[in-house]
Amino acid sequence: MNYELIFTKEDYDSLNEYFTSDVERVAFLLAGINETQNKTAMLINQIYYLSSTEYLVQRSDQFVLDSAAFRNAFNAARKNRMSIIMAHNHPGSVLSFPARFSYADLQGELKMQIDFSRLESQPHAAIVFGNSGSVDARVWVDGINHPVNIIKVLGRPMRMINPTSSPDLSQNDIPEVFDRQILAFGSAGQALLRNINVAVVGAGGTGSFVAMELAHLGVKAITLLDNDIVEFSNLNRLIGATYKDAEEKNNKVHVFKRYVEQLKTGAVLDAHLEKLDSINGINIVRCADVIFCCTDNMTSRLFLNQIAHQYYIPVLDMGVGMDSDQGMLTGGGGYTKVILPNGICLQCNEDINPSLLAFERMPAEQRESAILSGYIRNIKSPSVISLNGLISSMAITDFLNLMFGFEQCDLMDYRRYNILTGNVKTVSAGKKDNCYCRTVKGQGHKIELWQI
Amino acid sequence: MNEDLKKTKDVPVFFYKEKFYTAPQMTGQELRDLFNVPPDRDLYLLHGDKEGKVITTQTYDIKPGSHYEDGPVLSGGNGDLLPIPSLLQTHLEELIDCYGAYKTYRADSSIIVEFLNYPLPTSVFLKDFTNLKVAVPTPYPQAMLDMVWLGPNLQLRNGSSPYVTQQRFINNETLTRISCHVVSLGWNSDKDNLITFLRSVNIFLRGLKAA
Repeated sequence: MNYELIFTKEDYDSLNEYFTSDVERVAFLLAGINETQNKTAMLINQIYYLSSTEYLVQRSDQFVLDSAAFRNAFNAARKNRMSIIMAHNHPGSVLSFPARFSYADLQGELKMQIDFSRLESQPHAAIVFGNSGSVDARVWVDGINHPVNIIKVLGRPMRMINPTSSPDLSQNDIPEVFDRQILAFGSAGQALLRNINVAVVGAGGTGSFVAMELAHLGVKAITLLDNDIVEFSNLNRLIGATYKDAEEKNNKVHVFKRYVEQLKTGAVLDAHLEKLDSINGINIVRCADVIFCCTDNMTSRLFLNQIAHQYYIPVLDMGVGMDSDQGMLTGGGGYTKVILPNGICLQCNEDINPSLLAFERMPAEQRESAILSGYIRNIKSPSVISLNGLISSMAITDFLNLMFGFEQCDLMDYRRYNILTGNVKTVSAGKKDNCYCRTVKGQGHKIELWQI
Repeated sequence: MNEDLKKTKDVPVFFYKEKFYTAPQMTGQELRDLFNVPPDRDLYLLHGDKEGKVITTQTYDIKPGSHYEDGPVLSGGNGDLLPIPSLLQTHLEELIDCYGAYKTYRADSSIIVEFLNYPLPTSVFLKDFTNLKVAVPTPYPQAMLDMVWLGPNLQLRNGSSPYVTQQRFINNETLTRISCHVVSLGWNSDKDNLITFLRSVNIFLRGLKAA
């Protein structure tokens, strides 16, 4: 089992500032859990900073806490069904050695095991911040500790921090295929791309483009979800699909898997003939480090928006559209958005159209009746490969920027392209005070995703 | 305390979910003993969303159905809770006669030994004593000793600074780090230790010249 700690950028920065101190300090963090088949992620969503009165001893090399400090965190964790992470610093690391837990830290953590066993949410963890910006972290499961593999800090860029005790994932055997790319991102960057797990929801006009670019970039683990088949009308824009696929009504995901295998860039495409709005679909995308939303419906956006905020998984959303009148293009363009906790929320920005959502969720008969009665227009919209390619590439560039941070971006910024002017504009998304994105933030399994 | 009240143990209370019977009046220590609370944990009485620490010497009127829980007195840190390796301790005791008082603390995988009045070669320095810190990495003496810091702003007899040192602000102190490796012939853990290392430091200090 792999273990991850995931912070929002605000929380991580705030902790770092708190731990910039001459004396040892402690904070208790509460976390939701995202447990999947291969990894358990702890999603830090609340921080209890301690005041100086809560220390019985506070020195540059030692602390002893009043039990009441732990009880506050314990009671909050029990009430909110959260896990506890004990965080502290080692300001006395004069030698700039990477942060490591001391023997004294271990003794303190062992004392909490009985309390951990009394909490509903598992596992729990500890993290230590060193003087040199390094951190070490370990997870406690049934009284046994395990190293944390990675600490993610969700901002733009998303920082991936290797704790001191984590297994070394850097790989030197990067194929020659990526030589020119290493010039841009370095070997470590290429290794990062190789180790990341990316899910693409939708294998249509934008999804097939995105998945193709991910495979070329050297992303090894690509998960593709779609339950659709190839139709003749898709062939103008579906990467990898052939006339024969349309004739045989082959599944889009299987067609694309075949395509990626032929590229031989090392990518392994995990194809799922699945819709997102199913238990299986959600369980599949919860395993990913990053998700691309490449569907043209409100339901997927609604789900993925909540997954981004609730499970701390960045979602790159994109949309394309064209308007035409009697064979003449009258407007169109697209957008790319990076959805992160404390950042863009599709619900806050009123991107989820309630009437379209209602239409999608109607039983088939009712949907037909809504079209017949004129409530919903059932007009096929134009779709052209060049626009799909442009917007998909913008989203992939957003993804690379998320990984490597070559462009300064505000969390609320997104891009909009206008096909008539050729302009790409940066737009700031709206935020609402009472949106559900705040209540579900970092809750993990505690809150069920909407069962539609 | 009323002795009769202490004798009858028929008041039901809960420690976590386990039921116990207490006397109508109990001291904090008696409650701790009843619930078998270890010495490194405190006992708490819950009142709805709030809770209060149970003081060992205080006598309490026990309300039936009261709920108690405990919590750990947590400790930790990068400091000196781990014992100093016995061989290093032996060597430090041997060094007291030469270098006087010292203190030790842990920093990551090293032990910092700080001599508070380390004698300086008077032919070289203006001051006779300074504080000297040595980082002793563990395991000792298998890991080579390499880093030494002296007190701040050391001056040679001619008023200048020694040319192989630099000022560093470390852990809220301005120290002079000896920036060359004093063990020039390598480290042999069968022969070398803190005592031999300090001999090398002394030879190095005697050879310091002006910047």
